[in-house]
Amino acid sequence: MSAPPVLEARRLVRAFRQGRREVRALDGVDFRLEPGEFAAVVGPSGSGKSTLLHLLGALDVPTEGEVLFEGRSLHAMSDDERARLRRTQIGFVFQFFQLFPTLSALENVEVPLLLDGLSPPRARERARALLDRVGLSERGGHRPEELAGGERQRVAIARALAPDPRVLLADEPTGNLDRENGARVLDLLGDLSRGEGRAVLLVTHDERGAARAGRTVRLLDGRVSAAPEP
Amino acid sequence: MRGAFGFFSLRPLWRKKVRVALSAASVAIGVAAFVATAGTNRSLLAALEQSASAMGGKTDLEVRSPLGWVPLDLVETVREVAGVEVALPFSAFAIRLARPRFEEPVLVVGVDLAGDAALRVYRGSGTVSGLNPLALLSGSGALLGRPLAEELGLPVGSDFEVSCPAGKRRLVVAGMLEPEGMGKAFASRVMVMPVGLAQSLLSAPDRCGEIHVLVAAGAPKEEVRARIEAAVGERFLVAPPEGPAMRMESVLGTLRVTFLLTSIIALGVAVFLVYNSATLAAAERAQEFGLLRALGATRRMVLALSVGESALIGAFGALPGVGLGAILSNAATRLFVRDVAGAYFVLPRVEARVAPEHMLGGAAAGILAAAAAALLPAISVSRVSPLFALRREIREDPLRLTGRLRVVGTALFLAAAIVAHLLGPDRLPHAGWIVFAAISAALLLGVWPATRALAAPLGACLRRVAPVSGRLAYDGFVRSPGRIGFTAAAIAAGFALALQTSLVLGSCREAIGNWVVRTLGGDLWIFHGSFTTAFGGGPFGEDVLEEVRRVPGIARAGSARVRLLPIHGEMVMLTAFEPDDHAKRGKFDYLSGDEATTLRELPGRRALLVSEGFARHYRVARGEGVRLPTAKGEVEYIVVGVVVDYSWPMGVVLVDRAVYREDFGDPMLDDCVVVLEPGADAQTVRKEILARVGDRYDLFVGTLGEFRDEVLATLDRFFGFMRAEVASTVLLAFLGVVNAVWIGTLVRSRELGLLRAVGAPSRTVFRLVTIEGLLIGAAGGAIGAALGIAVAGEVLSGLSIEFTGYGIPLRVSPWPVLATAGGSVLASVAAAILPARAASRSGILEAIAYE
Ligand SMILES: Nc1ncnc2c1ncn2[C@@H]1O[C@H](COP(=O)(O)OP(=O)(O)O)[C@@H](O)[C@H]1O
Ligand SMILES: [Mg+2]
Repeated sequence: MSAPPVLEARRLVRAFRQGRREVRALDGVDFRLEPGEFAAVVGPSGSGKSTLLHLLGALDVPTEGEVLFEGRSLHAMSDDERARLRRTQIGFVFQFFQLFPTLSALENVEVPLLLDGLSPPRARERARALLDRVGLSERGGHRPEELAGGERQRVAIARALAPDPRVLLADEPTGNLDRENGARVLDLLGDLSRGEGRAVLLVTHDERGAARAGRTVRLLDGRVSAAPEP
Repeated sequence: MRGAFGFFSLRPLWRKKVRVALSAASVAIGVAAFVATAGTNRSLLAALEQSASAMGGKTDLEVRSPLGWVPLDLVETVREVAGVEVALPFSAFAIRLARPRFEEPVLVVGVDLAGDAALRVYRGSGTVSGLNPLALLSGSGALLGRPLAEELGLPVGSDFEVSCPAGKRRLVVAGMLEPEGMGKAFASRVMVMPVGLAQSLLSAPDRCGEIHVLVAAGAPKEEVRARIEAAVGERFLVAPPEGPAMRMESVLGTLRVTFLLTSIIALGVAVFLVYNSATLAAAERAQEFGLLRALGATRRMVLALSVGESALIGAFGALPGVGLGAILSNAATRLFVRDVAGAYFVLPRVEARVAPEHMLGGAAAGILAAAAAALLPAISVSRVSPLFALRREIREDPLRLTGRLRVVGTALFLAAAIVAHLLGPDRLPHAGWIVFAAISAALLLGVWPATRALAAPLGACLRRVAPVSGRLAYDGFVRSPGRIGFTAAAIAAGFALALQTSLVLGSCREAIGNWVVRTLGGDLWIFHGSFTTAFGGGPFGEDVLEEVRRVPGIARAGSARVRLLPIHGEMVMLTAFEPDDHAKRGKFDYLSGDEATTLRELPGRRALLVSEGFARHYRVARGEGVRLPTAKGEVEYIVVGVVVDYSWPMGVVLVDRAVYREDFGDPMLDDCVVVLEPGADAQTVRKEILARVGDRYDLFVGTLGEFRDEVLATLDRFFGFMRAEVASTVLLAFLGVVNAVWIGTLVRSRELGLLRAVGAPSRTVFRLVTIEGLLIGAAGGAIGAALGIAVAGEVLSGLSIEFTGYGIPLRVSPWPVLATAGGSVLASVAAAILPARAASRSGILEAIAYE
């Protein structure tokens, strides 16, 4: 084998305490995402999809098992190193957009670049180019509340792509959009990764979303269920 | 990262203008209090130093005596010592101007005309340059500081009248001094004359104040000093010029510590408000910061963003605070100099000036305090998990200590406070400060358990009256120990400070007012000058007493000489009085000894009564000896009793005036006390006294009641000065409650929205939030009342003893206590109204939108 997987989950367990009860949101999940691969995670609500994505995105820490980014264990990294990974290597698109309400579209896209130490003029330049690519060059000065749902999600995608990450994680990015806008967002995710060697992992309910993926993983009660894997 | 600072630290400030302004204003008040206090101190000392250096000139050594004078012929003796280049007589004292009338002190300086230019700088106005203006003096001529002469409208050649120990004297303006060198002494309110003339004003012609020595170039100073010491004998002190600052420092120490303490508390409460504000911002923006973390910001970045934001608020407040402080410093200096320090010292007019380092220090303190206050909430916000952004629940309480630990810790600190209080400063050094530290620690630790315990019964009542809002308010209250605890502590501290000030003032008024009437007694008091300020015309002659005794309507008249005397390097007050006459009008409160013993053992003997403070400070008891520096050398006086005396913070000794006159060679008087015949009219007698002796001295005659009122008014002015700071502290505490309740509504916005979604009217939400304010206020008020009483008690015993040697009994009147508790409740409920309105009007869907 040549390159290691971009992301790899090994026997991943994530337990939550709900009052007295312990809930295992993930219960021993193994998973690999190869460089440049476009994969989808599907499953009913509450099956652990978001939890998996959070763990893969270094947003959360597993109870057991480990996550490897390009062969390196996240567990072994310091909090600062994980933060660095998030701001340079992993782009995350959230279901509810999660834009800073007080910043303009352009400024929202600049945030990860500024955090990474890019000078404000260069960050602006790059943010403009990205907004251009998601088709929002005219809307850069608007704040999220002035944008339509689809537009907001495109800003979020531009932001996720801003640092030119190795992998893009998207948690039901079309869940709050109508069919037409949903389709556009999915197109964008595909287009912006293909040809750049970027891996994409998409959580979706949407059959069409899953259809675009080269591979679909099905989660059920925190476990990977036997599913057709081409 | 720098760009992100603009987005996440600067811009939010602009969005939250009102709250930022509140926090900045609180920092400004704290910084202003600090700068004004420091500025007042500094101005006072600077004025004294400046006067001292103008008067000292090039003097290397001074020959002084504890009595405040040396014989003139000693100058020759000193002059003959090998290595002495110049030895010159020097006298300086304050005096009253009788015509034109001038209600402020003027400094008289008496020098040797022929030689003094060798030591000090004199520059005349309108004279040929190079001419020594001292050459203009002859007869009853004096050189006046030009600003003084202009203020009085006295041209060269005109005459004026002074009232001095020798009586009223007419002097002539022989010339004017430019405000430079000697002309700058005492803020130019100075008149220079030949030492002989100056001494004649004191009725002591063959003396001078001290001898100033210039050591010959190349001569070893220490050796010369030893030789002078040998030549003049041990009754005289030979030393480098002493700064007046040291003496000020020891006498005004208490007052200045009180000021400083109050401004520190003001700054502390300001810090609390910033803390609250930062917590509020953290609660509101936890999600935003979580998202930043999700996007790859490190903890340190988030920390820097939120601490930076508070430091900015600090800077916004610190800058106007420094300006405000500089302005306040002016008023504070005037007040302090005239009304407080002026009661103890004759002081020149003091120009307020704030040193650049105080401004910078104040600004830095404000900024640092704001940043430090934000640290705790900033740390908690930097610890939010990146996932936090995706959820909507807010964790509070960075301070997590188990309940039992808190209660035990509180109990231990309270026990320590009680033990330190019981031991007192006699057995435990700095007991007062230890009590304060222990009480503060107990407050910080125990405020939450205490608040909870105090609010519990009230909560139970409220649940009956308002089942839903009462219940939810109490639940929310119980769930947020950090926020509620700190707020209750702030409101308690603010009101405790107010109560403490009021109780201390009340107790002092009571004790001192009673002491004036009971111990000093008499019907009419005669002074050379005013009642209570140190500034008067100096002592006056016994002829006044003899004349007064002949005034019809007067049954008896007594007198006293009151002066300062150095004992072991500290200035103690010596009161020489007439024991038999005094016993017929006033009663001492004895801590040891009694009246019969005093009347048996004091008159005609080398015996003394000492004040409580003196006894404590010098560790002397009845039967022991105290050595006093008299005109006959050191003489031992035996202590016959210890009494209460509030006239001087450094301690008082009281002797028989007949003995004093003999031992000190001083027949002068500082006051006469008159007891009227039954039925005699005080005003008629007053007029008659002035008619008979008014041409000799510029005297002041007042009734005992006026005397007492004037003493109390001085006390009130001092506390009035502190009240301004207390008021700002209470205001800050109030703002703190507004903020804290606001945080509560934000933290619980979901719950409140839900409440409305299931059909609660907005009125219920409003009530819920104001009830929280009520609970905080009730608990804070109760704690504040207890705290205020405890602190007042300690200020009057432990601290007072540490600084003055005497304690003052605490008098707790119910009104201030009730006002404190009630004020706290009202202020807290009022503070809750704004956030309550906002919460009751916010949209339902907004509150429960996500998830
Ligand atoms: N922070 C949390 N605390 C407690 N339980 C959680 C938490 N996050 C997720 N869960 C539980 O884990 C399970 C999986 O959740 P999630 O991964 O969000 O499912 P999905 O995204 O597939 O709908 C659910 O039962 C959910 O209640
Ligand atoms: Mg989900």
